[in-house]
Amino acid sequence: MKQGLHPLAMIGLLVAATLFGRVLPTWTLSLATVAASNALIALGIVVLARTGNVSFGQGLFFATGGYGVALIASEWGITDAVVQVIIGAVCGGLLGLVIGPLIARYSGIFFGMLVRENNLRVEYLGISANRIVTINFVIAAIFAGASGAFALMAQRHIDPQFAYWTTSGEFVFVAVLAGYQSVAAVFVASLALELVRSFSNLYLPNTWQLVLGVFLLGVILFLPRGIGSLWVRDKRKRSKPTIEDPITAEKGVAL
Amino acid sequence: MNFFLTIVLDGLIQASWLFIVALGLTLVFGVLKILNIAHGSFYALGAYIAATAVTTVAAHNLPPSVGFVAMLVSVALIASAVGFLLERGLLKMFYGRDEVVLLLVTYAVFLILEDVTKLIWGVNPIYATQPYELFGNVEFAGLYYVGYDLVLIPIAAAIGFTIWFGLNRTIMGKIVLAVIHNEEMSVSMGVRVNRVYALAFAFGVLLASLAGALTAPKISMQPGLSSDVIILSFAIVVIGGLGSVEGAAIGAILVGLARAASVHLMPQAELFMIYLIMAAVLMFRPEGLFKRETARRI
Repeated sequence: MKQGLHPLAMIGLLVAATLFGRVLPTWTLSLATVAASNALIALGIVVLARTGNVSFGQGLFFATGGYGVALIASEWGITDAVVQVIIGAVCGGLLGLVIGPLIARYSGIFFGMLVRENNLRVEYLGISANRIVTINFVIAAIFAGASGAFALMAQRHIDPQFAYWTTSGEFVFVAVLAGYQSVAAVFVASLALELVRSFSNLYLPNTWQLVLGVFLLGVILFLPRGIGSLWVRDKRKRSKPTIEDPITAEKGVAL
Repeated sequence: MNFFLTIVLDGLIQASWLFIVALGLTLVFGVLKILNIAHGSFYALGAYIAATAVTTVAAHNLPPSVGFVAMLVSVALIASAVGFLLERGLLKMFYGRDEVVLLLVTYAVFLILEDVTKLIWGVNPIYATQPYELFGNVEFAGLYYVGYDLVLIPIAAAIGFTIWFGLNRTIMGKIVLAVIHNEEMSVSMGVRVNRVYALAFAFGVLLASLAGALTAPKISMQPGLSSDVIILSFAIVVIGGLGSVEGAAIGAILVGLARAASVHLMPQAELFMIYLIMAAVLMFRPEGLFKRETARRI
């Protein structure tokens, strides 16, 4: 976040990537589209993860965005890509507004425990922890909704599988692989996943999840802060995460 | 009246095996504080192993009762070994990290087991129906039921009672409860928490796969089994309160009845009904029905 690329450099990279896409074969283009759309959801999960929550439910907003766009677009004949993405984002965001405040109350139950931030301490500072979680949740839902619109455009169809939790699991995988520190890392991670998936489908169709699982364990073990940590240095000194994490260390003195 | 009875009986039959699965999930959460996403995979593993045992026995022209015993024994042995090895070999490495990290580790285990079952048993449906005829058909108030289904209810009740008794009336159980309540204090009192962890996890895996084995004769085993079961068992433990045995029982009965009712009245709303109950319970009791409020840790 703090030591990321200069915004202008980022826009430059984006333009370069878009122009580069013209000379690449088309299969890489559709792969990159899917990867970018998945990365958007994973980005939402990363945003949410900064409050200490991991959501296996982003597929819901993903599907909401996709279905919303599909229904509205076919009803009113909207074909403009930008409008479709906005529709998707609005659909996801609206549902997020409904569900977010509810979920924030039970974040401890739904996502695993709220440990990244100590929410009681946050509240002592006069900030509502629930509100922070809610706002982040809605942001994540908007991203997922927009991504649903992208996925719809890339794949030209949508089915209930979009909302199933194993679909969401893949987005969580991308978020974990990327880590919480860099936005660019999310897109790199998503692209890596799509590449591995394409080649796995070719060479090892029945062991694709096995590869994914082993890879996930490897990342958690050896790269606990994701591939983002390869180029974004944390301000804190590098040491073992068990010692580094103040919350974990604190558990020893609790109650 | 008969219609009502059908729903109740169907619901209880559903509840019986769901209870056994949820019991394992809630026990693992209570002791290790791990929300185990791979729990459904252990259910599927149990079902697949049971299928292999049953078909092997049937191939040797032995009676189905032998198949029934063989499947329970083989599943119990393999599952507890798998659980023990997983805890000692893998989960142990991540203790002390965020609970979210452990959640992700179990998700990785889920992914791996999903493909391991595919590699071992293939992707086509597998059946193990022989023990299903073991207890014949039973007429109950004008309704005909498969005896095997009805037998599941007392089996689940017996398992539930055994766990409750074991936890509340034996020394080992008291030690486990002590670890659930306060791990630090248990360590300082000389409890070998590592051993309790390994045993609890192995036991949780054992329960999930026993439920899988018990339902194996009723269903067809195919990929996707695990991801459906984990959703149901999560709903149950959230309704009942994570870490509570009584809660798992009530949650399983509620979910079982909801499933049975919606199958008979409104099949398309089956999962929705379950979420509705879950949302309703959480509105009024965020901790679930049976979990005592715990003080927030500073």
